[in-house]
Amino acid sequence: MIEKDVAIVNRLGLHARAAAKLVHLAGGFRSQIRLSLEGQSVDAKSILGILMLGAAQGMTVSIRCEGEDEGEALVAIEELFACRFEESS
Amino acid sequence: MSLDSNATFVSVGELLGEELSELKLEVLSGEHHLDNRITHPRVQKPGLAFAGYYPYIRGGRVQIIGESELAYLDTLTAEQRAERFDHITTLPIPVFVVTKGLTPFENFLDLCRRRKVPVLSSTALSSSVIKNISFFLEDNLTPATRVHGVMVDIYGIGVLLIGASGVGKSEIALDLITRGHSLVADDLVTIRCYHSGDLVGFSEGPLRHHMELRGLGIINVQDLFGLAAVRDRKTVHLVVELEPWQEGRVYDRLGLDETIYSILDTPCPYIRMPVASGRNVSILIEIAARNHVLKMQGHHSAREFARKLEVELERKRTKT
Repeated sequence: MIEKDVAIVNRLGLHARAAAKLVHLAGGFRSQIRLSLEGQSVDAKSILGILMLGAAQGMTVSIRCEGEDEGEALVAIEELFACRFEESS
Repeated sequence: MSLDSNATFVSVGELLGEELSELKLEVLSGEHHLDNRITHPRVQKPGLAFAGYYPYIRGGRVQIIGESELAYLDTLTAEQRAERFDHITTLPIPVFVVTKGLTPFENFLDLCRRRKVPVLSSTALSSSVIKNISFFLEDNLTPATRVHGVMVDIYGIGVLLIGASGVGKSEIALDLITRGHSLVADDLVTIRCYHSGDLVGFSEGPLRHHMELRGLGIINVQDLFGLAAVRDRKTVHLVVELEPWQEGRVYDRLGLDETIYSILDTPCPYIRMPVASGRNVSILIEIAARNHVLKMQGHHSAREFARKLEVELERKRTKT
């Protein structure tokens, strides 16, 4: 199991389209992937779960991956956050 | 999906068929020229042509002569009338229809006979003749295509289900019928595109109101479920393509964007619906129809939700 804190840098935060991208990416890995924020932990493969978090710009979420491809999964998800979900701001 | 466009003309003789029997059309002259071709769905009243202005008489259109035209012709001298009749009968007119059971001028009928233009008569009023003939022509001259699929009316929304054979279209339609919705067509749906841009689905010929179910064969839906379980025609509002669930394929998770399916070059809202065991697809399709009603009323659930979330995220945002 690996875990890492990632900052939300895109302006809109984890809004609907960003969440859809995250779910799509997470769905491609076999590992269990969870996102936690302020004591709430949700499955990164569940879109409504992610939207529930209400993660806005400036917040930090913790990503936890567990499974055979946990390393790759974490890197990929971190990268998605870092590139602002391919958004311009 | 197989494309086969409709006929580009209707013969004058076809006006005398069962569909327009209400007009009680009779042939006054030109019974040997009933194969003349009507190529335009809109009819014309040749009043201005009788007044001497001919440019707007379009070839291939049915010309309706009513009481006003005949009353106007009465005010002309015999020479003027002869000159107008002579000119108008040289134009590429497929047929004249005289309404209200009126009798046209004898020399007009003679000219028409010689120039191979049939003249029909109806006892109905001009307004009914125009309405019925326009409707008939529109139906028979509009572009049409046949789509392999099933069409169902769900809460007044015409839903066209398409997808490969064996994906379960008919079974899903049957499920929807048992839930109180009505069948428009099974297996082959004829779709016409009207001038208004409306796509209308029909079931044609002996297939109408029947379904084929594997293991049961052909059933008559109207006999089994009653009159309310079938419809003869319905505007296509939504196209749903059913496909077997494919692992790794990206399915729409948000519903924020509208996708389009083109039928006869006309765009129609489109949903791709994966079918997997354990998914009750008919309920999903019923929900899709309900959601479509909401969208037509201006409520877009997905977008409203996304907007609320964005407001919330903006409020919580700490500027960096």
